[in-house]
Amino acid sequence: MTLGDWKEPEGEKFALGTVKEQTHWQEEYHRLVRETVEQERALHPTEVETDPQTIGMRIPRNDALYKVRGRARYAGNIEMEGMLYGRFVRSQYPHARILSVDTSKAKTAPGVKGILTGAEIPDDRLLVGPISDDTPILAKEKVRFAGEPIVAIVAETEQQAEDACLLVDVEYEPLDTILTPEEAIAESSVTIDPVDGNIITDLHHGQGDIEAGFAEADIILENDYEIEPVDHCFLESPAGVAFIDPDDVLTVLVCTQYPHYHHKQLARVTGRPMDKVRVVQTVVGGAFGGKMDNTVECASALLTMKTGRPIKMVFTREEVFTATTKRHAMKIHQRLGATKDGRITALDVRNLFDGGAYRSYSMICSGRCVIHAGMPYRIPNLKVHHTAVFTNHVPSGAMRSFGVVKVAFAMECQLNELADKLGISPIEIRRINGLVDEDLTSTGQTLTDVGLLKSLDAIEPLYEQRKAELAGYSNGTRRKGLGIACLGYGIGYSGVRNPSTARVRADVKGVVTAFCGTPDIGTGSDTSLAMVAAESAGIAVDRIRVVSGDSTKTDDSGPTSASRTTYFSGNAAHIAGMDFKAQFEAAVAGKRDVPAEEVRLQEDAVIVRNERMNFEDACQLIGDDIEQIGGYGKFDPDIAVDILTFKGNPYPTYVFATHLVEIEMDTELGSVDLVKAWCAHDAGTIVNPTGAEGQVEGGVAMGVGQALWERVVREGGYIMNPHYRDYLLPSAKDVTQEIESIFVENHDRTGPYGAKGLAEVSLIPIPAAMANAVTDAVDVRPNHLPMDSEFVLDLLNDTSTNVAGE
Amino acid sequence: MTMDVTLNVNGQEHKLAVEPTETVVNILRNRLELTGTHKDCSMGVCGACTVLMNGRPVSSCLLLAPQADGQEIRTVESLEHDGKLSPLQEAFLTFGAVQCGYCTPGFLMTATALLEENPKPDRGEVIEALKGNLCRCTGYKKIIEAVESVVGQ
Amino acid sequence: MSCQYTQATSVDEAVSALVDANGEAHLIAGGVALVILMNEKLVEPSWLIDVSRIEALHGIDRLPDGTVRIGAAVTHREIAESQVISETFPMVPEMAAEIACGRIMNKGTIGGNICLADPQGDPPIAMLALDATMRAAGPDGTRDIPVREFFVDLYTTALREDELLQEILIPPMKDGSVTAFGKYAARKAMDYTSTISIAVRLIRNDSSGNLNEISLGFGGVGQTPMHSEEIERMLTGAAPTDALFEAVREKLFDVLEPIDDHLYSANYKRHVSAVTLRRTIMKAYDGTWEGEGVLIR
Repeated sequence: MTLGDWKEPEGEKFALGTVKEQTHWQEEYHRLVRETVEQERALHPTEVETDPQTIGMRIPRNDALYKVRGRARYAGNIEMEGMLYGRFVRSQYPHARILSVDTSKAKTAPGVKGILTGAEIPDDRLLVGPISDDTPILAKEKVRFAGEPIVAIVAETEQQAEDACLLVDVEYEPLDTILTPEEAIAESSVTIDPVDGNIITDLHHGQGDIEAGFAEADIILENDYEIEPVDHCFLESPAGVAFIDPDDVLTVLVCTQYPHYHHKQLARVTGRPMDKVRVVQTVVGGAFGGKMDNTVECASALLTMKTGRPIKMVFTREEVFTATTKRHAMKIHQRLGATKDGRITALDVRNLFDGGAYRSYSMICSGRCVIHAGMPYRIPNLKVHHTAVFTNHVPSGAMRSFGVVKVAFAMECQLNELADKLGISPIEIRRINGLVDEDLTSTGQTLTDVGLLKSLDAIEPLYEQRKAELAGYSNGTRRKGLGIACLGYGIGYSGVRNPSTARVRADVKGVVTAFCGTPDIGTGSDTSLAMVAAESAGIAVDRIRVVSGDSTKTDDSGPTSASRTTYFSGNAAHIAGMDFKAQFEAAVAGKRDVPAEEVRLQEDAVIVRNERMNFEDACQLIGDDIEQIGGYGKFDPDIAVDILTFKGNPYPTYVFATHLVEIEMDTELGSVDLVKAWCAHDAGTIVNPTGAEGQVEGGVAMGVGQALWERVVREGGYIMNPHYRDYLLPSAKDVTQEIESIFVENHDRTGPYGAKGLAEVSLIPIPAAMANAVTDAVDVRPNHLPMDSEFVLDLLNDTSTNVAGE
Repeated sequence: MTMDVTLNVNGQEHKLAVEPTETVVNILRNRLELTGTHKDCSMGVCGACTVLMNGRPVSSCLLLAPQADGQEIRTVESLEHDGKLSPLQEAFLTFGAVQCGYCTPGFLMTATALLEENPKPDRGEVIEALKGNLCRCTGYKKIIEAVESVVGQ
Repeated sequence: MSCQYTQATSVDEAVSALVDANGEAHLIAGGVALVILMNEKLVEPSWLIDVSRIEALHGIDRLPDGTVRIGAAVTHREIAESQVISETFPMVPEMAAEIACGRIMNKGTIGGNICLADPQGDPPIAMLALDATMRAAGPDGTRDIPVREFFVDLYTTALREDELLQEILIPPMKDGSVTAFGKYAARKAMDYTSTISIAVRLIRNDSSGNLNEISLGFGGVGQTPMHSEEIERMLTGAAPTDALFEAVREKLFDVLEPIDDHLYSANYKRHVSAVTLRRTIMKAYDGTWEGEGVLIR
């Protein structure tokens, strides 16, 4: 691609190529969608007046045609004339003062065209971050983790840039490090952050009278849980291209979950006006929360401004491991009190979070862990103390569920222990305590449309049947076990408004474009949004092109994260679709001179009194006036939480689930295999079953990895396994094909067509359910993730930890 | 020093002067504009760079240009014909085997080789063939189902 | 750095390039290990000698005396599919079929794998259990090295700088011999790290049921692919009882020298090696096997 090609027409999603490339394949897409719709209609006949026409259908993804052909534009695929390639010089030390940075040798190295150091960036533009501006684009005075960027170099080839990086001399004065939360909390001569010392945040929350709650309890359980850090392992490493377009707009094409965040940040760090910056999301090769921080954006932008040439930067996999955010390492101490009939009376939680060297999303993850303490159960007396600290590790940030997978691990394991000790079934203990409509959460929010018990009901017969089948199973050293875990999860940002907007427009040829800020990061959200907009507008889904994740063409609608896109952007698309429909009908009515009530846009056709015309003809009829039609939708539920007391309504709705897993293990080796998973979800109405199942199946796979092997191994502040040979992801042989996605019927009154959300949550119960299944199989209680085979074998060999010894 | 090699890529011969240490994935992506072959781990583990050499899957990140000299290389771009997807590509699309799509070309090439060699694999053989390609989004189930759906076609 | 590339067409040509390079050359066959090191910048070769197209390094044949000859550049895939090998040493194709994954099997060669001398390598220990001979070619012709003398240190073999591995010769087994291979890895595929493996050859005494002529290879538990005559002696002539395996297990804790790594402690590896040894012996002995392929679980 050359700069001259860059001016792409309005109404086109950059990530999928030019209109010329798209025309033929759009026809193929129409064919595939029509075939799907016909098949689905034949299977599930619908009534136009009363039933959804698009929602609930297995509509193929609107980007898959480009992906299966190898034509989707991932950032790393983009080449431009005159392009330079960038690499970073990174800190060799986990904590050190930078005494000097000498780039003189690198400057004269072959091919080098530009070098950027922290010293060249004015102080008020140096620091960036998603929540707090605390992270230097390039470290200037001090480095806080091994792998922190210090210098960026661009050259004619990537190899030249990499070679030049080796010529930069950085003189360090190593400082003592803090590597555990305990060290960070203790009195220390080491200070990581100049503002907050070693504490990122220290949060307290509760309700009721904790002492009275424990006094009322017949049984009190007290346990420690530890969860090691894991990596997102999106398959596509962070990558981006920055250039100045012919209209002098600084343009950054980058794989991100939140283009508008980078847009604002880039305007600030470059000093450019907002309208001279643009961030366009490229096709994102997986994100899972790991593509919401600055990686290549700021440095490549500053370097394109400095050199006047397009800059491409792509992280290596080792950089992904050593220099992008991780899921927090976490320790949880938890006391749970209950009556002998199984009713929880008190929960006292102490959380410790290793936040790493900078804040990233630690505050957000911490807040969510606090609010989700005890979820999804009624906890009359609750006390939560959560501390997130700085350490000299790579920053911890957002990852699928913002920490709730760990909170749930502790809660669900402890609840299982409670059930066992009281002789109550794991289903029943959850039914006794599970949240229902009109219950209050610990923040004082009244819940509606709670589908937790529906998910338990769906699982119960499967559990009872399988339990009977497995009774007494034993085969040499092989054992089998069943485990159950539930979840409750708030959709969207925690406690702050996070509106989403959408626009729907049409042209005279009948092409409809929906614009929405939240990008599709691989989940299929563009397809879901098209389905919602099509349903609401009364047109065919394949008529709609979605332009998302473009900071100029779309409004800031927040990131694609927190399982919020279907709900927030789906609602916006719904409102925009209805608005479009009304305006369109009025326009046809105007042309035909009939009252607007006598025009209906439905089933991709316009009915004017008794006449039916197809949508294209209606667009022709409206003619140039069609440009006046702009469906607009904004969804902005009233969300607010008092930041001191955590009281309020932190989320507009909650999703719930119950998972049942069957594991098989080898008692001589300690190894555990997932055999089958039954996943019952209350995700509200399912917009696209194929996409929803895909989310569940992917969540199960990620859960298997986190349950059994995945850990970022750290020693002395260095990551020891920064590649896929030593960081083990589940393969096709490790993830069972026996995954049953069960979507319970539960229409959310506030969601688009009743939909809530799903993406993160399918992961949450899996590690806990697998731990509970290990308990069922061999009577030990894993309290650590990952439960690798050596850990499990040690539990089996240690008589003090097995259930019989409790 | 550079050397001359001839790569037969998707039926087209390319005579190229290469550094002997250049990998085929870099040549495909940087010199032949075939960016459908993705690159990530550079260790032969992830499978995103899978191409077929003489009909069999290999990691193009571990394949030096002279090793491929005179050999027949096929990439994901070769799968469509006359503006039509291959049955396998279409199955990936309709079965929901594609999410972020970064692993997709590698899976398609691995599965294409499997089906050419063994037109009627059972589920175990499909899983065995795909076990070396990592996917972080789908959990593999829909990929396996998509491959099974075209068995016998 | 600039690199010279020799596409050798004969053993002589490759050897003469090795002589000219004077220790500065790297041999490349499949490249699946070497190119990783190159991508990681751990190896920056100035001279690569490609031996993969040398005719003499290919082919799997049974020689008149029953010896099976495997060319060093034969791929894992070819071995996994070899009728000739599976007729006599079924453990070898089973082992080859579980190396990494299809992409690696299609390029990686048995010779390359053996010459890497990775302590976790599977072909080396299969050859140890089968008492194979490594035939090296050098400036003075060929020289035969017994496999038990081949692995001298971490990633180091008995080959001289001017030699290459030409072929592997597996001698015929005595009548009644059986073989088995067992492997433990955290995952069921892509066993790149912390794998423990065992290769077994033995004869089950028809009358007593005792173990005889036992020969073993140990993977993932030392500086090199390992064998242990001490353990073999303990097992030879004994009945495969729980008591025997308990004694062997204790001895293994002395003999094996695994290291702690990111995944497992040395002690856990010793334990797994002992379990794998017992299960693999029993697989050869009476076919008792609950595993999948060569995976012991």
